[in-house]
Amino acid sequence: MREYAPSDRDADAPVHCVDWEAIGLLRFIDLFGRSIPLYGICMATGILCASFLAAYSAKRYGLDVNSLIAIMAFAVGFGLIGAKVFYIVTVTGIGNFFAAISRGDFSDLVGSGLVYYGGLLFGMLGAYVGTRATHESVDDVCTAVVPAVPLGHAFGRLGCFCAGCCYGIPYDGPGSVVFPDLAPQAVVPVQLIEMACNLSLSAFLLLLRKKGFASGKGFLFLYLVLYGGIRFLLEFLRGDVVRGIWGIFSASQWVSLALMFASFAYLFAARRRSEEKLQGKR
Amino acid sequence: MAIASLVLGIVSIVMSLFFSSTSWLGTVTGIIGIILGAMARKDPEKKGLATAGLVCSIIGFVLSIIIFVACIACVGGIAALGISSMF
Repeated sequence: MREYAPSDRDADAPVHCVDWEAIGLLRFIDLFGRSIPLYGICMATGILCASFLAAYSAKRYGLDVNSLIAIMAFAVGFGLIGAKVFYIVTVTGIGNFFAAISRGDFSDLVGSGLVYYGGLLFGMLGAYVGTRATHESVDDVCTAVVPAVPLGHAFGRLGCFCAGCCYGIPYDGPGSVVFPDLAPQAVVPVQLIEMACNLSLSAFLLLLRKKGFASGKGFLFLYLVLYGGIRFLLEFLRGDVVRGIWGIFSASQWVSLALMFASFAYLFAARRRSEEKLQGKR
Repeated sequence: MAIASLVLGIVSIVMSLFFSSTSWLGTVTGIIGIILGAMARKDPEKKGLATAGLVCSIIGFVLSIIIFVACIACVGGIAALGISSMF
């Protein structure tokens, strides 16, 4: 596998390898004389699209739209905190973080990165707090909101692709991309693969909900099982160095396994309870 | 709650437009403004003011998150550059 420097990418990069800058996906766009980052635009678009999808579903499932907006705001607020906490724990390290704070360096707190699983777990906690505060039903909120989560996440992954972070392992076959100033080799566009998986997952969950096959808390745990499986497999294609590796798996793979195990346990217990109820009625 | 939402929404917009370094504060005030605005909209008497607060807070939050996450993308990119050059 050869390395591509920014200076020789036009001349020597293989023809089937897409040069990220050459196809016009820039990290920033100029608007009103200011450089606006596409990562931020994608993230804001994802949050808005997810909120619109959830609000559109709200009335159908007996939810007040204002309550749902408040619940989404709780979830996003807690989610941003969680994403930052997970980043500090898995990547920066708690010791390094407090050492930097004591030196007056706040770059890890207001800059650096975010971890999706931290956002998801704290976001669920935030949504629960919001649901309690607005006196809505947890089952109805889950049914309305769950398909919106992978939709918003898909835009986030598009943002990762634009920013050039979260890239894949070295690979120079068809469909590979070059991020010249971040990864010195052609890599797998794993961000786009995860985006496609998230969009498919959102469509699949919407279809399940429409057909009446899934609803309530079980719907949320079904999402966690499916996304956990997808993420566990896609982590093998990740090649970026700025993330936590614990033993044989990455931090995200351990979290995926824990979430899948817990979700399977819940779904199995729920199925058993419903079977016992049916037998009791007979 | 409606007035608080409007004030927080305006603060959020100001933070996001004029102070790049405090855009994270705009994100916080925007989220609190959205929660207060959405809750206040349930009261029919204050619905107009609450809607204004909600809209300002959403605009402030969106602008802040764009700037705030911009900062993350830049610093993250620089960190990745530094680490990849070490290996």
